[in-house]
Amino acid sequence: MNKFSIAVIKLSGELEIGRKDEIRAALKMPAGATAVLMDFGEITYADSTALAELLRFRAEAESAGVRVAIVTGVANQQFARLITYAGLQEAFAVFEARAAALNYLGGATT
Amino acid sequence: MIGKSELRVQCNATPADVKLFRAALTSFLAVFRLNRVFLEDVSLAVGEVLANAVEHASPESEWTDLELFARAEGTEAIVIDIYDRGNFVFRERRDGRGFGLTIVRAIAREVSIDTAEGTRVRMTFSPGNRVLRGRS
Repeated sequence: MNKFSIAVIKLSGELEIGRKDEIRAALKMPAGATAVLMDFGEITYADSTALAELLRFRAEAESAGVRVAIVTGVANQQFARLITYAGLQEAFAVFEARAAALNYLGGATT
Repeated sequence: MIGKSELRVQCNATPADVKLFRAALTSFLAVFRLNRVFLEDVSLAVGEVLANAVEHASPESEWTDLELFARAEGTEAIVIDIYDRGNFVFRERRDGRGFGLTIVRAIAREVSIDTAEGTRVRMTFSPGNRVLRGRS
């Protein structure tokens, strides 16, 4: 029986302070997931409010043994620059391509 | 050549209004035909300062008196002041918070913070070669 299960969390638009509560509500650990793919392909802007929530989610995932990958898509590099400016390049597994992210998450089970 | 231009936005704001300040600034800067990445970065830095101000509004009210004053000297420098009446409390990094000032300093050429009367954060940005030349 294959117990490997990737949950997808998709966020879109601007992740900023005005949506803090909404972001927090969206970033809940999916029940039964062994890995989480965060689809940021339709995010147009993110700030440190989003970073704080993502760090909280990452910590929660780590303690549950759940691997997390973020897919940004090729077109939007704003999130990648945000984490670089914050000095958090090592904190998140960020991929432009969904296939690479899935490969990374799949590696968690081998 | 575009000479000196200014934008001043002053209002009572909540966290939900930060994006409106950013939108006003982006519209103002559009005339300089700066490239998208530069505009996004300036918007991010300004958004961080605004967010810090509204997050630390008076405990008695969710409203913060905010002022954004942007001036462009041609395309050589863009100087943006954010003023609020609160005390400066850009938090230290703790529990995943407090990255705002780090982000601002990574983007702006210069950052100064004056807390003599309320808080005034001044950011200077250099478009440098990130100006799109000519009209398409």
